[in-house]
Amino acid sequence: MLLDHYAYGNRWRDLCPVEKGLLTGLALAASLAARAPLAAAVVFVVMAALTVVGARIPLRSYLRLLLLPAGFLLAGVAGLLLSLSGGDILLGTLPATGLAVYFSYAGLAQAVLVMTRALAAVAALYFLALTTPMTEIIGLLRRLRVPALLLELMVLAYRQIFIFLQIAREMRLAQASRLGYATTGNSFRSLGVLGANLYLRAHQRSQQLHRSLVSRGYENDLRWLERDYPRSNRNLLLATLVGGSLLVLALLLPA
Amino acid sequence: MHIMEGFLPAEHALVWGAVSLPFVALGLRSIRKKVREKPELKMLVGVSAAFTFVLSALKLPAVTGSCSHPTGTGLGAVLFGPLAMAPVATIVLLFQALLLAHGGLTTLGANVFSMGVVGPLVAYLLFRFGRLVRLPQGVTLFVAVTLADLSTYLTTSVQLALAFPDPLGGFAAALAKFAGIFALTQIPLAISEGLLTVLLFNVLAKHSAGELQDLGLPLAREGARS
Repeated sequence: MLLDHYAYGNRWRDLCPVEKGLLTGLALAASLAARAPLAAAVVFVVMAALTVVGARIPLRSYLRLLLLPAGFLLAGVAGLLLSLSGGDILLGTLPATGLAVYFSYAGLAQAVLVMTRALAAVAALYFLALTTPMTEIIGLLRRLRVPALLLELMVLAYRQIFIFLQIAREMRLAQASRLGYATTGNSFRSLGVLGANLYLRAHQRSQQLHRSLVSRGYENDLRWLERDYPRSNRNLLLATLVGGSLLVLALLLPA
Repeated sequence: MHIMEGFLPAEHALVWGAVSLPFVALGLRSIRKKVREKPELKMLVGVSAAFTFVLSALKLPAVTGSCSHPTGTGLGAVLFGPLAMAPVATIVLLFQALLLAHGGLTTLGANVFSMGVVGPLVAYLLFRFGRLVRLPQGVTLFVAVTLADLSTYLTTSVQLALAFPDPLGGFAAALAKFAGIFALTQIPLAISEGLLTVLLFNVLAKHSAGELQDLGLPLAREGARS
């Protein structure tokens, strides 16, 4: 999990999560508020530059991460560009149904806006995900008054994810080395067994967790210390300024 | 199927968030109530969220060449009931957005509605119905999980069509368009996940009926194949 890896080791790891969260929130708002592709493009460039130059995330990894949502983006944009009910250019007919597929210029304008907006929002999301570990993001959510139970469940889940991924990887390797994934039928059977075993391991783990907590005086509330970050008014002001100007730009630039 | 970050316009993102919120709150309340009776359930729900996340990170064997990931929604709904699934799905979706760049923060509300509310509800109702009319458990599970996945994908298509109606054909034409495009990956996925869940349940029911009973599951002890 590349995102998590960099969240713990980037130049801005030790900045207060509130500052990074504030900037991300404002940048996300700016991306969605943008009515001109140019405004969204500016949000994208600023957030990407902050992540790559500011937080020193290697450019190659960053570009590779940007490819992750490409599948949905292409399919979604295709949905905007193409029309079955008429448009400017007839592209052809669908083989099975005989429906005509058109390309429309109005769709093109919309697709460009949606695409730049989505990329801007992805850059904002990546800024948070690449600079701030999950534990700090949970701390941020606590400040936003998210119910304690949900946060407890998040902390519990986050701690187990890496263990389960490791177990799943090992089981898969063991199965694969016994030709468990040699055919499609085998793959299904192997994956079913893997899932069932993983569930059992998860179930056992939850019981062990509960027992170990009870033996240490657990009274149905999980409490944990959060790291103290030095408050920097300068950074807070910078985050507000950068995020705020992005938002103002997005609101002002006409479509 | 997740809508990517920033794809929905602001009003849609906000409305779907507002629609999902009460379901998450209700789910949390039901979890809280169950935890009061049985404190160890809190660990189980937390750990199960991690399990769902890891399950959804596994690649499914291809049925028609497309590569897809299971959602775990159907399985979760049958295991925990539909109410508890909304908070669990919220956690899983948040992790997927922040750790895997799958889905997003602004589209969290819309994704929770399709994967944490509609999908689990469909799975649970079909599962209960199947038990009621005494269909074989394997068949019931397959149908419940497969249709839950399909309903999730249709909900996503509706959300996209509402946000981006076709300039000429309006909502209906846009729905046909989005549903058509995503059907290429989503229909094989739904069938694969249905099969996988049945296989998974067979193993569980055979070797560890006790663990399943912990969840208060209305399962037949003799296993899903019966």
